[in-house]
Amino acid sequence: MRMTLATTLVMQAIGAGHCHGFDIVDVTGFPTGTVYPALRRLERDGYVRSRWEAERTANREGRPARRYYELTATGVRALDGALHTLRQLDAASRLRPGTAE
Amino acid sequence: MTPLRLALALVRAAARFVPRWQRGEWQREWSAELHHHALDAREPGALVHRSTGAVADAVYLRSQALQLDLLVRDVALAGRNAFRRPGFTLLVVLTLALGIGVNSAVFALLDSVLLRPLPYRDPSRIVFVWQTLPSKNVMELEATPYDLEAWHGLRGVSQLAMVKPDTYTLTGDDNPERVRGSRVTASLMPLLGIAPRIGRAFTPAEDLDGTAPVAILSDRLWRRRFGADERALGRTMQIDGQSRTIVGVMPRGATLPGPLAEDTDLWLPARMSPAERTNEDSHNYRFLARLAPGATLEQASAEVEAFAARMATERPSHRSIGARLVPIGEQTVRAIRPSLLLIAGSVGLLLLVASANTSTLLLARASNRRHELAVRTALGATRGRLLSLAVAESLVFACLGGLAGLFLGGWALRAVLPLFAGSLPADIPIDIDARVAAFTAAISAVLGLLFGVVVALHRPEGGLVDVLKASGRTISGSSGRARGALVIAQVALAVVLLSAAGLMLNSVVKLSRVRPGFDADHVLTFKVALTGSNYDAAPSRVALASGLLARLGAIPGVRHAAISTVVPFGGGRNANSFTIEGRPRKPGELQIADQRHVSPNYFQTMNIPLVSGRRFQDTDDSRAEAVVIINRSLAKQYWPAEDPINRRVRVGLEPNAWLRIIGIVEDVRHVSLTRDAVTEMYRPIAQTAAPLFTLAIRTEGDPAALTPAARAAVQAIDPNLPIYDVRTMEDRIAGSFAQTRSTMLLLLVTAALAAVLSGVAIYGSIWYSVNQRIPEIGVRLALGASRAAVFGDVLRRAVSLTAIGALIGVAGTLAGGRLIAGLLFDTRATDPATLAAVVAATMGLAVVAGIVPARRAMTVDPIIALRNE
Repeated sequence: MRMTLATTLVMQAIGAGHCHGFDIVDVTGFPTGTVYPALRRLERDGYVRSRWEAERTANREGRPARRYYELTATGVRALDGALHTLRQLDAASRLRPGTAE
Repeated sequence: MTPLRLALALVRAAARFVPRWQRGEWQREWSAELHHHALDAREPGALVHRSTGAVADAVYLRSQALQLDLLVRDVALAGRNAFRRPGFTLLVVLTLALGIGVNSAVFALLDSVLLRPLPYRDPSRIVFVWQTLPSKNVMELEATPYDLEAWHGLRGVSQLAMVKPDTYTLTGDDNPERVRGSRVTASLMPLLGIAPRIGRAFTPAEDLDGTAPVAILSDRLWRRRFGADERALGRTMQIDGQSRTIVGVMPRGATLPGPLAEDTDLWLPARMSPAERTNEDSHNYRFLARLAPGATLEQASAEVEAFAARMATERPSHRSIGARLVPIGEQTVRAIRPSLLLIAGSVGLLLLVASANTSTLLLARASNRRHELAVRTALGATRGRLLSLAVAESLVFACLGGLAGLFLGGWALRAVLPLFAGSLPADIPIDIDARVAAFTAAISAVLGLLFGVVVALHRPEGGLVDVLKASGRTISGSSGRARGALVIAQVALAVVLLSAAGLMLNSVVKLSRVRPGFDADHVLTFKVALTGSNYDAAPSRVALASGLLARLGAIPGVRHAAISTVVPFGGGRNANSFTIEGRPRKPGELQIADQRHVSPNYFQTMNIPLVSGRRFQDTDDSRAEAVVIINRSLAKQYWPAEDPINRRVRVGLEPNAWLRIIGIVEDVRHVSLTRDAVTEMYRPIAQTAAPLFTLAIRTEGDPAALTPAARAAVQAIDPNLPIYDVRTMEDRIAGSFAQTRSTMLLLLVTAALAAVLSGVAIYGSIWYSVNQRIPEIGVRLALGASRAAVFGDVLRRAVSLTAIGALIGVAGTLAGGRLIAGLLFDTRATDPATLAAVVAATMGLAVVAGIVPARRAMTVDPIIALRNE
């Protein structure tokens, strides 16, 4: 699967513990129309899996149960790889043409 | 509505897009998020804004379900591939555009003319009622007013209407003009289900005379003469010198059923006098009927035939006259349908040729990309994925081809329409419209799918290793055979098209060589309409005739000038029955001859040879004995063993008006070059004072150049006389087979395109196989084969492929010959000379297409060829 900036950031948000759809929206700053399709793609390809929170917890707070997402092992590895690439890109961007003697 | 409820409503709406099996969970997730967010919402508007993402989410899930994203990716890849090789893409797209474009154009034509229902209420129930003369092989005789009354009792038809088509002169302003019009009964418009767009229709009272003279205009005439001014209603118009009140304007395109392109500009009420109503001899009235509810065409036809048979025994005037019903749809398109269908068939074949050509190209490319495909397979691409990729690629080509074809089609249509201007309706717009675009899209899609499947089915066999090990030169046998078969198919189709075009060409050449019985070159003809009451009296018409002839004869460059009521190829025959003195008619026998009333020098002007007797002289006028000249056919038919000179005949029912036969002239083909001459009688116009004037002028130079002088001569005598239908005689004859010639031209162009495409296919296929065989040729040359032998080998392959195709094509032409036979003139559909010429031309094409690859094979350097191996 192609790792775009959006999918990488969504995975990073989940990795950092923001596991509900709208929370990921809040953290990443992407609109719902970007975050949800990214989640579907990640789930289809086995990078994240989703579960439903317990009804009891939700009832106690007087709201419906929410769906939450977590990274799979594959997802963790893919995120590491993607972050590694991003870091390399970042390092590359610091190189200025002509600075090497 | 609170923001939460609005957002939930949006989610519910979006949920429709979500595949059913995911919908419940999906909706639960979204509404939970929205509820949760609503609890601590700082900005209520944000909630609605967030819910809009549900639409994107839902659409994404749906597209995922359809694997649309995969397809989109394939199409994108195919698009990139197409643009990476612009030369190849251009070749494929142009070939397809050619095939698709001409089909779009012809579909536009067919759709407007043959496929759309006629603009009447329930048109399939409307029929023409024709009388017939089976003994004379006349199957469409117009009926008489008497029959209107007689046929009213028929139970198979519920409505009956009478139409008398005619031409009328409009005067009263500076530009007198001649227009087509019809006198119709009040029943006509309700029968057809049409009505004036403004004003009123005719009333039954207006079927009879004694009512005020009125007229209804066609939309076109209304726009032309009144600038589409609604105040034209109630105004008067001078029609044939009579003042008529305009009471209505027909909607645009409203026309009478019947041969196309004969649009009517004036609708006049029948206004029949008692004498006209009871006339049972004047066969000049057309009848339309609507089948009664529940009655079939067969039932109604049987009833009409039985009724006619009874009339034939009861009424002397209807002896040997039958009747038949013809649905208006058939009548309307009958003249042009065979041509259109032939053209449609031929462009269909051209599309097949173009498709075969495209398949060849795509197959060749596929075998060049065997490495790529093998690698994809090795990396886990399934058969389905490869098929999808192949289909995506060919769809891209087909779409580009279809798009280009649509433009090409528009252009082709504009080029084709003028060719058929004489036989197409003027009021029906024929253009590339939504239906044509849909048709184009459909054939493009079908072709795209087909090509994709063909290419995918010819996937290289063997695993990755086999393919990578191969030098890339050897081709799999199946793909080579497929290419050979495609070349053969193209040649066969091209031979069929070339044969059809050749046969039509043959017909046109033969038609143009038919001797019509007179000299058509250097003759200018035009008609003069006698308007107003100036020419009501016979002597005034005779005086006008001699005045016109004197003026026209005096124009420099004019050799002879003559008048006839009807000239050959001038439309109309004016047939009438006659009786021979002392020879009572046998029961059931109808003697009919076309009547022409001519000035004395008509025969010199037209160069119609005299067979025996004498021509008319100036002294054959109203004071002299009434005389007649007959043609050879009439003489042969009625006096096979005797001399008809000095015999007497009587025309129609004029009592005691005996005419003495004074001469026999050669036959003239009058209606069309393809029809034999009919029996004819010529009478001196000075004796008949006929009110129909067609002038014929034989000139020394270009006849068309004398038109202004002739016009001036007529206007000098009476400025109110409109002259119309000005054409040279050669023009009239050419016009009589214009449709055959246009069909031939289109077939020729189609066949030429098919031939070029198959030439390219032969060339491409041979070139490709030479390229594949370079190492083999190198070995042969190294082992001492002569270059001439290699050259001959390659050429032999081109010629043998073509020969097989040509044989199949000839067999196809022989089998399908009868489809075209009806359009041919004096040419058999199996004409051996034409077929031989086509085969020879095709073999020549094969040699030309094979020479370049053969030369390439001959010049292979064995050392280089073997080193590359």
